[in-house]
Amino acid sequence: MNALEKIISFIKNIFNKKEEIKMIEAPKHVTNTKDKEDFFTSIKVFRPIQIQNNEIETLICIGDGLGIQKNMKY
Amino acid sequence: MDSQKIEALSKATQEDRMAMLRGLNVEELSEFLIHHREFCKEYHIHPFEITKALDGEKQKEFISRLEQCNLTLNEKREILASLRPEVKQGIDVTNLPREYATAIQIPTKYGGQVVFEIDRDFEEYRGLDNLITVSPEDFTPEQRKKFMEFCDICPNAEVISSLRDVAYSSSSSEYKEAEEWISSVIDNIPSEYSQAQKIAIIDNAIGKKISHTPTDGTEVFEPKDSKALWKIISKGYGVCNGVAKVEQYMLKRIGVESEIVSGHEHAFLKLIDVELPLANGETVKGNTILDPTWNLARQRFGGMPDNFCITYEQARKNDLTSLGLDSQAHKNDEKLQDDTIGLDEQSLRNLYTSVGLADKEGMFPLKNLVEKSNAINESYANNPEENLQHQFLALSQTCPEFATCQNSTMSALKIILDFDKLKANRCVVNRVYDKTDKDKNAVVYVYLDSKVSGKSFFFADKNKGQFVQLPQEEFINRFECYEKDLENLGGIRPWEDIPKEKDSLPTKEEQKGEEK
Repeated sequence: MNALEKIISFIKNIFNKKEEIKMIEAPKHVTNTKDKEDFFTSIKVFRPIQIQNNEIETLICIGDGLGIQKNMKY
Repeated sequence: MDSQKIEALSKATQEDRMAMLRGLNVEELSEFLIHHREFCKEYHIHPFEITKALDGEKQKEFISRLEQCNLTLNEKREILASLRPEVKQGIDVTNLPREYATAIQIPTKYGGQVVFEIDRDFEEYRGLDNLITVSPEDFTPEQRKKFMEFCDICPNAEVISSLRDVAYSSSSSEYKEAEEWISSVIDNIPSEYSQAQKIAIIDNAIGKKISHTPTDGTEVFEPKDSKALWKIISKGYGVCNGVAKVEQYMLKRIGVESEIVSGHEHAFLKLIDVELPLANGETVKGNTILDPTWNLARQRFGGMPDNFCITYEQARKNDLTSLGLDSQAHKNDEKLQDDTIGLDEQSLRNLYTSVGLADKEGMFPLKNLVEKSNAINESYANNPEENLQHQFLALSQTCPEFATCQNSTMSALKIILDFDKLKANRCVVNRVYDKTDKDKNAVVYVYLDSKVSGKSFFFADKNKGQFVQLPQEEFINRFECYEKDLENLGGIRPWEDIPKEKDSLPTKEEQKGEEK
């Protein structure tokens, strides 16, 4: 960057000053922690991995390397 | 040796322990071997493993004290055989007992390993099992026959097979057992049989003998045991590339060349330049796919081996799961693009009929089990527990060894148990281990939660050779799920109720209540 560009950039910065980012202030008074915990508990999602299908459940492996899942024909 | 040193030895790793023992002077070492036999036994310390790494002078000094060390004859022979060549050369064997002299005269390579010679008098190897490693994969029939004699003399020698350039160990006794079985299969194939008929017989025999390792993926799974050629046959368990290796080895015996090919998390065989007879009377020649692992359960229970000599296109169709997902188990475009020949269903049936493994109509023996199972379902439509008992009986009549071929048995149970006929809320066929079994061997269990009879638990009892029913509490006390299975189930055993916790955001009413 030559000297002229530097001067132009300096002048631009004077006139186009960006607004400072203002952070949200933390609440001044501490809310009831129990209420907080209750709230978190109330929205907690509990979803165990349980296959509920209408067929016999067997051992499953990645890529079905065991070949167990396939039905046998005769 | 003082107790502090012994304590330090006991706390060290095996590698450090051996280094510490090699660092002792000869007098201390002799004392140690005399007075700490139990310690050596407990930590699997073979005296020759210490002495073979000593320098030449120390070895000479130790040999002069050999008779005072209270060692067995085999231990002494191991020490003598594994001495450095220059030390051996300096020993005058003329006045030594024959057992010592032959041990000294056995050629060894770096590290004291015995150089195995098939034409040597095997008696000279007796007791040196720990020093012998043999790779007999490419032995001629004559060499194999001779090597079987060696196996009787040194049953614990190491016999290695290779799989993708990695060596896997079986013992020589496992080798002998496996080779005898291989011979019993191949020697009984009628000589007039075509190449395809011979392959059909071998694939069937492998399925009857081997089951997929039932502890695969668990905390006690030992992959090297499931990939060692002769161990797989001897123990009856292997994983996909190990099973493919077994079949490759057997096919080579009948002159069929093959290559082990990998798909996604799976391995199988590409047969090179084979001839296949088609139902229309034509014969095609070229490369084809044979997946021995996916055929295991089918062959064991007499089902149609629909992964036998198939085209790449068919193998990829077989990759689709019941939910329509592509498992990619056989996906390997580069290696398999020239696998263009295969048997259609009718040709497969004809082939298996021709070797007596399917009936005249081309139906496979599994048909009998399925028909029996259907009849049981009708007869015990209102009694799920009794239905199960009879299904188990039918299964055990078809395959008496069902408790020891766990994964094949799980496959078969999936076919014969009928979810609706059992009036099931849930029916699980899976593996657990007995809590008192330190090896955590896999046990097949069936858990039925029926609308009619409630919760029932059965396990495949290896000793009794039957499914045994246990009350829930007894089953839970006795058996446990493997860590991996439990993890896959979100930490909840199949028979456990899901904990009742909030599973959604609070309702509007609840929110209002909280606001108030």
